[in-house]
Amino acid sequence: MEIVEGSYVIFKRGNTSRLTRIARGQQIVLEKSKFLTDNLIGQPYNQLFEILPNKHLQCCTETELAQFLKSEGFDANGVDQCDELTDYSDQLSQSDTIVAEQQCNQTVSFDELKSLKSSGASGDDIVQVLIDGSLSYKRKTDLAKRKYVQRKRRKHSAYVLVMKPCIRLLAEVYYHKNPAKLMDMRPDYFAYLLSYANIQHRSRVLVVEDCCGLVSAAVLDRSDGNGLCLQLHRGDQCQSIPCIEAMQYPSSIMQCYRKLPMCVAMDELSGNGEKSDLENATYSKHAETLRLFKQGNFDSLIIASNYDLTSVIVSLLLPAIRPSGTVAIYSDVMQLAVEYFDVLRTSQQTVELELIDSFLRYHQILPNRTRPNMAGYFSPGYILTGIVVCN
Amino acid sequence: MLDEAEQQNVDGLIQEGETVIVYVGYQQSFAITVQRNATFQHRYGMLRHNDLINKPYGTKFNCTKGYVYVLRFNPEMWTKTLPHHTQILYTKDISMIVFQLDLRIGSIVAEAGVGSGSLSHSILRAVAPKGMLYAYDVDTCRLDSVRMDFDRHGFSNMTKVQHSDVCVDGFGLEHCVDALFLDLPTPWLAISSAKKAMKNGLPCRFGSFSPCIEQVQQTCSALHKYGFVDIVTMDLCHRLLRVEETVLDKPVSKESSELDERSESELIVTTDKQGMKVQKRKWTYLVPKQRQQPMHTGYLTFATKMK
Repeated sequence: MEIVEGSYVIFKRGNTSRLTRIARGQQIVLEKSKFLTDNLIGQPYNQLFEILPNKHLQCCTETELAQFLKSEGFDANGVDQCDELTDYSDQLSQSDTIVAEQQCNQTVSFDELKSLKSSGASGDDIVQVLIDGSLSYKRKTDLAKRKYVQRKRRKHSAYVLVMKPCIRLLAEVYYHKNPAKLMDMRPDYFAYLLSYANIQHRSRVLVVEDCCGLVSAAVLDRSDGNGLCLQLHRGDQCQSIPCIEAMQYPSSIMQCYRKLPMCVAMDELSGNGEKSDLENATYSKHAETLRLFKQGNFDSLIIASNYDLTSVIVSLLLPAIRPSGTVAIYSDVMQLAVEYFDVLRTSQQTVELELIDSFLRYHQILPNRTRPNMAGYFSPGYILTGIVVCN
Repeated sequence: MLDEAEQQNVDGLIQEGETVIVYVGYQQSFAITVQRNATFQHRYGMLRHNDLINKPYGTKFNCTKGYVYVLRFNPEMWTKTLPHHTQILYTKDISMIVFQLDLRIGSIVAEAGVGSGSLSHSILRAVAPKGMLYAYDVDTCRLDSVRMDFDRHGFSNMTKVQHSDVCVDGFGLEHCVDALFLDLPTPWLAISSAKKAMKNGLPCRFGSFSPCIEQVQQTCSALHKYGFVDIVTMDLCHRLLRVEETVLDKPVSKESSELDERSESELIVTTDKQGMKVQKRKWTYLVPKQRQQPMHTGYLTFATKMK
């Protein structure tokens, strides 16, 4: 599979990732490096590219990739280290005292560095020049040296990974860029929600979400064009689909995706008599999807929305789930999670109700430098799961 | 249309030979295989298997001292009900593993060691019906037990169960798996063979579960040596919560009859034995379901082989 104009790709450089749709003449800024994406067209996905001095991308050779892997470029720890903090302060205290006496330890001037870059020196060469020009480098401890080199390499490295979007990468990219767009649903919550929804071949899933379409995209990915993903949404237009666009599913998978306004589903059930012409037009447009919804027999219900559905979940949504189907609800509002729990428990239509929250921590794993990452993400989310039964 | 309705109907009924979950109470479920003329004893009485056949899943069955529900088998309930031959992974780790390995329908996966098959069933759900699971273990009895489970649950044609110490003998596979997961005491010894087993020219995912940080250190060192990228280590901890309610007293002044307007809907005004006015307020809040819950199961390490 090749990258074409209009393809979505994920760029990864150091610890930063970006989702982009490829267009000609496009310039990307990623971790202080600029590059043009024109040369990607026609290339396969999942390759390492070098940023040339003219800002175009060039595919790396096998030897370049192998050499890159030998460096510590990919000691990804999930979260950026806090460079201001000093490790092993006892060991460094004497060295730091000496180092602090020098006002400037770097003999390479800013102008010299700038001319090196414009003359086309490689990132590794620049790093080597900086190391040679550092007065304090030789006096650093080994660990401090490694850290120094790692920081310089990250800054001056001219490599970028180009990857094909998948659900895992989308969940991570969106979460790190703006957690609020995913309702602060960290990847571990998302994984748990999908697991408990029991999605598989031929699953019929009812989805209510405000997570940029990530949940629907994952449902389509896991059922692979053999089931149904029916998304109930607010308003007349479904707002929540950028992740589905990013996955660029073929039509064989997209045929299983349906959208239905919540007001249409509710009004039809309540059986209101008179409707205006506009309402009739709306109903005609959604007639087929409404039929699918009324047919019910969904295998699972996933809610990841700030839409307060506590008043309709028992009357409207649970009847659409077949007995022994599963319910999985994510909420970043504690009171809403509590109310869902109470409503479902009282309904006596669900068993094995469980309410959880989750803590996730990444670790730096390096020789003699193993520790938890110093900064991470706390999520205010809760997940409620249960199984629907006849009562 | 008729086919679809027919398929739905058949799929919704309990059949002889199927494994079902008998839900007796919260966290009291049992997996049984439906056999004609068999019975199942539980604390509310007896359940005759003949009564289950051709009934819909999710039905309530009344017994002498109460009732039970019969639920469709799924990997999460199996994780809660399966017989333990080993320590097992639970859904919080399993869900992250399936997610991080990028499993989908048609994926080919290798897993070592298979243990009690808790993770295996979640993998099979994700990759069925076109995928494949190569399952390895060093213990013959465990393998036989897991093979029987796979047969009973309808996965026999998608699994290949092999007796092998993959740290010594390798996986015996070349360029054919999309993802590989290790739950072994010495996973770093299997990484060379793991890389060989992975598909050529495509990114493949690797995962490993280790309780101790020293195991993780050796595993990450080996992953680095064999050219894996995006090496990430994490640990997960879930809290099981429950909803509590309580009523708390509020101070009342003798002079003032003013009520707290904000909480009027939840306010309770009564008098005590001496006839004095008492104000209380109802609170709903979340607490851990148990004071003591698992805080560590293991570290999860994931990596990618790029080409």
